[in-house]
Amino acid sequence: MKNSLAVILGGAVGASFRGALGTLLDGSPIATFLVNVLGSILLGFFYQYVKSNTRLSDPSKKFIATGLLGSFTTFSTYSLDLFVYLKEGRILALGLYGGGSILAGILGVILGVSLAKKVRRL
Amino acid sequence: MDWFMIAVGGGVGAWLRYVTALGVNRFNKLSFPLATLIVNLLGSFLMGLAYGGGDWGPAVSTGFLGALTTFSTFMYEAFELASTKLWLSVSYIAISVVFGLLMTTVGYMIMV
Repeated sequence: MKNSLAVILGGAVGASFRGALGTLLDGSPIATFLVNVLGSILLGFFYQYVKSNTRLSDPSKKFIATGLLGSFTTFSTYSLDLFVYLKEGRILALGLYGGGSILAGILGVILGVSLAKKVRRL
Repeated sequence: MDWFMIAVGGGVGAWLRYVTALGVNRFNKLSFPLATLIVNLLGSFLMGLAYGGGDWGPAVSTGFLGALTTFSTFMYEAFELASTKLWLSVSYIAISVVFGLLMTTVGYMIMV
């Protein structure tokens, strides 16, 4: 029950942040790219951080990881962006955006994880 | 008012993603992250329907469908898989992206 509530609240906040950034960048795929990469960095950082810090309660973890960061990033809009590029025949953009998001997302997770390891040593 | 509707849709979408994971992980004993794949493909399909069917509004597209699906968890799972089963991680990414695009296309074509 507490976990569900935490996920719902985190999801509401995460989606709102994504919506705000999307409005700022006028719904461009660049906005989706930015939230997805930023969210991946933060999730990598968070998961690595909680590995060494177990004082955080379960609902707090769910609020941040599943709710906030899960909803801040989006896969459905990513798929839609790919579809629109395909429909418009912009194959180069499709490849760059499709592959670039994945590459930057994975590198983002790695960056977040290594930052969390550095922070722990301080 | 839009931001409020996005928040409501986001809360519902995130919760549905969470309970899907709880349900799927009860029987999924594979190391493959099936729950995330399911919500991401379902969300991509619904996004195609929404795009083809005209404007479903920000509460549904940005809020609900945006939050039902996730990119950060997808990337983290791929990262974790890569350290033990690289080929499975690569397959997970390829299946997600290719079938995600396919699902959106199918959704769009149903509505248009």
